[in-house]
Amino acid sequence: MMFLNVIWHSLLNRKGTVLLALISVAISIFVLLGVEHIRHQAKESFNKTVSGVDLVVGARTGQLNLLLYAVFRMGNATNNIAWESYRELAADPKVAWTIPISLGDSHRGFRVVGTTQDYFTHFRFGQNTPLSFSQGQPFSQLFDVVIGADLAKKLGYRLNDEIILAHGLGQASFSLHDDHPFKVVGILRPTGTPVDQALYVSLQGMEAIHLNWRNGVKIPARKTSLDALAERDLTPKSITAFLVGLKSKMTTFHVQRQINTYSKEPLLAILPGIALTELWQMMGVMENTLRLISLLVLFSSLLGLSVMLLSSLRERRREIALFRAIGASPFFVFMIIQTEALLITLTGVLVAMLALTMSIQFAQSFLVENYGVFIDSFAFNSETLGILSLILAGTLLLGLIPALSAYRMSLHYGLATRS
Amino acid sequence: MLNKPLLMGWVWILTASSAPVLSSGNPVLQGAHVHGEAVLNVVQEGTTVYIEFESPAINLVGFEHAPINPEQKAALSNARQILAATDRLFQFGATQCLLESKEINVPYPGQPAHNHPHRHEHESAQEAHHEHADFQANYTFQCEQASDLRAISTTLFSLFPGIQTIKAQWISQGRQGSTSLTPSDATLRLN
Repeated sequence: MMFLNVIWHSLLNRKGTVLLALISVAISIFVLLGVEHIRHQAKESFNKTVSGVDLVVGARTGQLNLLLYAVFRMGNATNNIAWESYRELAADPKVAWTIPISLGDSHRGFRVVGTTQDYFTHFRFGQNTPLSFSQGQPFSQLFDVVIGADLAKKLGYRLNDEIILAHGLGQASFSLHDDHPFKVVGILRPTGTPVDQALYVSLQGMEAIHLNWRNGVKIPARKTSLDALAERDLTPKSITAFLVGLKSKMTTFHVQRQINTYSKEPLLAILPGIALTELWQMMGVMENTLRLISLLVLFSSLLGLSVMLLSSLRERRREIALFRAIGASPFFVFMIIQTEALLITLTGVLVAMLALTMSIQFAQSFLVENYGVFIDSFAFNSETLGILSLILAGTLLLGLIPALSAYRMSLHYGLATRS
Repeated sequence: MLNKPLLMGWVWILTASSAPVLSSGNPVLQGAHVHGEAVLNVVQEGTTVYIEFESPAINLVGFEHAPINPEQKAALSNARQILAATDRLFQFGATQCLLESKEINVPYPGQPAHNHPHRHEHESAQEAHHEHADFQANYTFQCEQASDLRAISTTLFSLFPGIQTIKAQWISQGRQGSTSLTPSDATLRLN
């Protein structure tokens, strides 16, 4: 107790420098833990976006490209799939269900997904959780729209509100589908995935708003009335991609090969889980860079800590000599310096974890809304434990420099002031 | 949503820079034929474990043309026999698995040189006239406690020294994954 008391008062005596060292250590630990946590969570967020989908099928492109635009709505499709090809492949007896996806329109920066009601029955996220509605129900009429949770929150839409879709993906598009407004009939519960950030309309609805369009431009004065629309054949000519669920996983590779060698159209079928693994393998380079940087930041701040302790030794020469005079062993002096270093780092860890918890709390909704990445609050796990022991080991190792110096000093200098 | 997500930016930078490497690296999707590389697909569902193996003939027998002498004919039938001896090929750890069915396709079954079971486009003009051929085998196993199956190890590397890497893709417990097997790490972990 006396030992800690001595250290406490000694630190208090130098609170200015100690505080600065503490802040620098805390910031570096914050960076290290934050990077690890976000890395982990971003991965989790991606992984939980698609669950239970055996294959994702689109026009032939890179497999990551397909995964990103079909599932995560990032980037754009290179090409579409003919409706006939989709029908033919979907009718395969090995296929249990399919979800067609048609992209290309937007509403105030949010993407519009043309699909069928199967989206709401078969799509799964997280641990095989189906989509559910917080209000309303799936679309049934031609101009019904279901909106994601973020959209309802951010744009303040409620049931029965009218929405005008824009052609293309621009934030401020001038070509609006204002001849046919859509009515909100359902709002999905939040999922923490890109599902929250989209509007869902029927494929027929999507087709209908494009009827009077040629080459991406609306033909004026040709407004189709609802009655006229009812008579038209609104089967789409093409879709962007489709998700496949199989009756038996056993056939996954067979069906994949069958689609990849489909003779009528160049198609690509990917296994989403495998495409994701590939994505992580690529991201590994970036992850390791971030890790290395945060480790270097930690190293430099721990080094700063030991420099601070080392330079303080000079002014503490008399303090150390006094310890010796009252009978403390050189080892005691060594331990004092090491404990000081450890104490500062441990406080740094606590401060960093507190700051991390608070900033995640604060940034959570911002990240979900702007980046579609759901970051869970900071939790202690085995990985964190590993990082913490690394930090402590680093502290003890770098603490050796001032501690050994103090040890030597305590052997050489007495109470008498020299110089 | 004005600024497109930061994460997306990273993803795009990375995809843009490594897309060519990636597309050439996936044998199943592109029907690529890479010498030294083989493909292993594993599906576990219920008590059934299905394994698919595909490799360019050159990895297994050292040539890729119709056999021209008795030695090469023997090499083909020898490779077939090795692929048929499943208890030597795969080990399922503590899980007991019994072979239910197998199917092995050896190239050049009949003698005519142009009757290849699999042909692949090749970009290299040098090899444009060169025909590729693949060995293809699939196995169905019935396993007790298949849900406890964590890893499958293979002796393919020691049986066929021509195989340098195996691109393994797996589906198990509703999850999908892929990994590269090498002679020093020939165990496919399903997790």
